Amino acid sequence: MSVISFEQAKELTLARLRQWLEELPEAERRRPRKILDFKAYSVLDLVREVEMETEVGKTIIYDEMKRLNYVVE
Amino acid sequence: MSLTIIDLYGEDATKEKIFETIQMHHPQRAIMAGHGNATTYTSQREEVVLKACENDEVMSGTLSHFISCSVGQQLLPSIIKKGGVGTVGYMVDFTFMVNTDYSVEEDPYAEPFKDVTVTIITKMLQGATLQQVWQAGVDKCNEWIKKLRDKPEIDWAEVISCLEHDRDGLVAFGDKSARVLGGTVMFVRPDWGEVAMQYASYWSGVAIEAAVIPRPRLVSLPPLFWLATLFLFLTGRKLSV
Repeated sequence: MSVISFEQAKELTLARLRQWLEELPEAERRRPRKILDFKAYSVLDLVREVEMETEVGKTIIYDEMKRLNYVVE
Repeated sequence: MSLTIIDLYGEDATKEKIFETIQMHHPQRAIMAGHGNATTYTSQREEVVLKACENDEVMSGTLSHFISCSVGQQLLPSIIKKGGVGTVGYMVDFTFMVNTDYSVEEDPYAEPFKDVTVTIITKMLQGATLQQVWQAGVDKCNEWIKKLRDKPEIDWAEVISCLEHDRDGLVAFGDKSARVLGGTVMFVRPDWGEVAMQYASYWSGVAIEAAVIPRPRLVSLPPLFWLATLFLFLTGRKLSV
């Protein structure tokens, strides 16, 4: 596992979420896609949560880094 | 072993009815869907039902599964301290994917999460031990992760990510060899039109349907039937040689 800073992790996560946005038709981007804590989020919501570094956003970042085998310092 | 199911669905999934059911019917198993956090489980319209170290002793003597976020951090260990036999739930936010182009019943992105949830509940209803119930949930996550690994779309990569997240956060507390056969099972299935809760309640409903539809009871046929079948089979083989 490699170590990565929180800022770098955030940028990587946002890059992936934006790539996901690109894959979706315009109408799909605002529709519920992911359920976190039993609350529905669209991909645009996820981008906003990560940008604002909310608790949900941080969870998304940490999950993404875990998936990529990074440890956030 | 006969199985009695008490299904507290939608507006019936209130604290009052849950407590009433526990006091009157003493369910040995409980399947609880609803919003949660480290210390709290809520039901219909997020009414607080259980709080760690406040009223969770009502769950004593039960084997339970919570489809609820983060309750594995404090509430579930507290239930075990108060006499709960065993419990399976999530240490993390329970996470899954949906595609609202489809109905709740046919959503392909939610299918793996339905399968995991139904597997856990079904195992528990079949009388598997706590360890087996937890293991079945983990195995089902791994099965889906393997199955979806080759799909290139980000949507599916996200499904995998959610499955990994849930699998790593699935925990069990209590007597790992505990199992219950028959008796009363209480299902709590809040549903007030909220997207996420509709899914969780539907999944529990699928498990109820699977439990109440009678399976063919071949083993209950008289031994003579099996002996006669075996005899005919062997005779048939000999004749055909």
